[in-house]
Amino acid sequence: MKKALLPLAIASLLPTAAFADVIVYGRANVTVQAVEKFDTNYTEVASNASRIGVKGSEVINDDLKVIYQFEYQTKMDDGGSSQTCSATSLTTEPATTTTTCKVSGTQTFTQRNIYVGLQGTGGTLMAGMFDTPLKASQEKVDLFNDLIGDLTFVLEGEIRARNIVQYSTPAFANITLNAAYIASEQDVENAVDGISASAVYNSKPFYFALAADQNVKLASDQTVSAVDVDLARAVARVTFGPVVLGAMYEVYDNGVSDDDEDGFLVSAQFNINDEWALKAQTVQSDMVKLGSESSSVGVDYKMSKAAKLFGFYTVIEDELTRDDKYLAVGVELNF
Amino acid sequence: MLGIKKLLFFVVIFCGSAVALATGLDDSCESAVDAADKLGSPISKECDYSNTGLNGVLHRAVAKKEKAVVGKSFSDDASASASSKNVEISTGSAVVNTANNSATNNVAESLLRVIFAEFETMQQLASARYELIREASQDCSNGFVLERESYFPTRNKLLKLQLTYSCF
Repeated sequence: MKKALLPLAIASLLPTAAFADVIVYGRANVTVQAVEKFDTNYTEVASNASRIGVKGSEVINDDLKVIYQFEYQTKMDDGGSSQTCSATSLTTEPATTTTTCKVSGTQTFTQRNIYVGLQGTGGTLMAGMFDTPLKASQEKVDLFNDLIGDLTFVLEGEIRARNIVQYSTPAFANITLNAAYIASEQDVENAVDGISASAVYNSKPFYFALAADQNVKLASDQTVSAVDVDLARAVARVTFGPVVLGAMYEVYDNGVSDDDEDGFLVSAQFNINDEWALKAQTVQSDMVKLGSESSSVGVDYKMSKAAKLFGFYTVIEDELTRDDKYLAVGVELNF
Repeated sequence: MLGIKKLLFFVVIFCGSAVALATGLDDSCESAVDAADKLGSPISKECDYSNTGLNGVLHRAVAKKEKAVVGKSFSDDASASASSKNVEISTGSAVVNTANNSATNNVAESLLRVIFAEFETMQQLASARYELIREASQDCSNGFVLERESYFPTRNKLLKLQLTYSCF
């Protein structure tokens, strides 16, 4: 099928009545990265959370509507992320084994945020698979979100939970409360359900959020555990004209070690003009790996409202094994 | 080394703060993909994504589809009428109307004319009404007056919008 006909094909599948309040959206984000890793140097092409989705609503009456969203991620660089390896033993002396790995693009789309729910004057109730209130509380503080400098490689809590039900209050004085329940869907010993909650204040120049998780990852992954895993997060973003400052602080109790672990993120963006922006960010914690730190600097050039070119330099290191460096240029198109 | 990097970072932050101007944020709408990241947030009434990117292509394609549906409704009923322009002329009303008009008026233009379209949703109603009014304006080169706007249920559970107008 010709690419130009794709939108018409999609449109023909949707009844005109249902299409009235549908937004089709997506993002294409690809970088070419020079990587220095484990004393090796190579160049890679990376697809950074490129995705496509539909979102919409169906009005039931003046006070109630059904909302929905289907969002899927696709690997623009290799078409999939699956890798299959096979080992071959050779009957030579000494005996040797050769392992061959093949990357295949069998998984074109993977599920991202998908839900259906009810929205009315009393708030929003929705169920599906989507970001927990704690994950969503990061808002836009992570300036290298979806890139190699993403906070997820250093801090805990970036969970898109399965089997989640969430209630959000209507915004009152710019404050919204969110509470979610994550079902582990099993009745075995030490199986736990998860809870995630957040309180968010969001005005134009200021953003503040407090959030907490309990056993969210265990429940979402259907993992049994004899101990509770708790996480708390505070987020702030302040805008002073062309400068946007962000900060995040986390405390993590894995239920095993005696001491809680903490971590933080600070970020700054300076919008030179409508086209150019400079960014810097650092994230540190012992949560994922001991002494883990990710520091990034970058520059964005906005070509249009929907498209931008960007470049960044990121260093990710920890006290054990990692001291990786990434120099990248990329393009992003939002639609 | 780590300490120097931290120091440089905070220098960047505070230098940036020093030159900051306390002006408001850009009020332009964020992209649809960013809006979708705000889970469960209603589609902003101020932000119209129906004419941008792939979404715009799809909406325009559907709009053409709706237009075709409206045209089809005209054609179906036009087969029973005398007009080849999908416009029915209500001759019964025209007699009464003609008697009320001045002698300088063109008899044909003083007739009441009826056009209609079927629709299902609120958005289709707006589109259908616009198409009908445009049809009437093309029919009346000097303008027209809308005499009546009527709605009827149809056999296929749609609604029928019927506009009755006369040309100046």
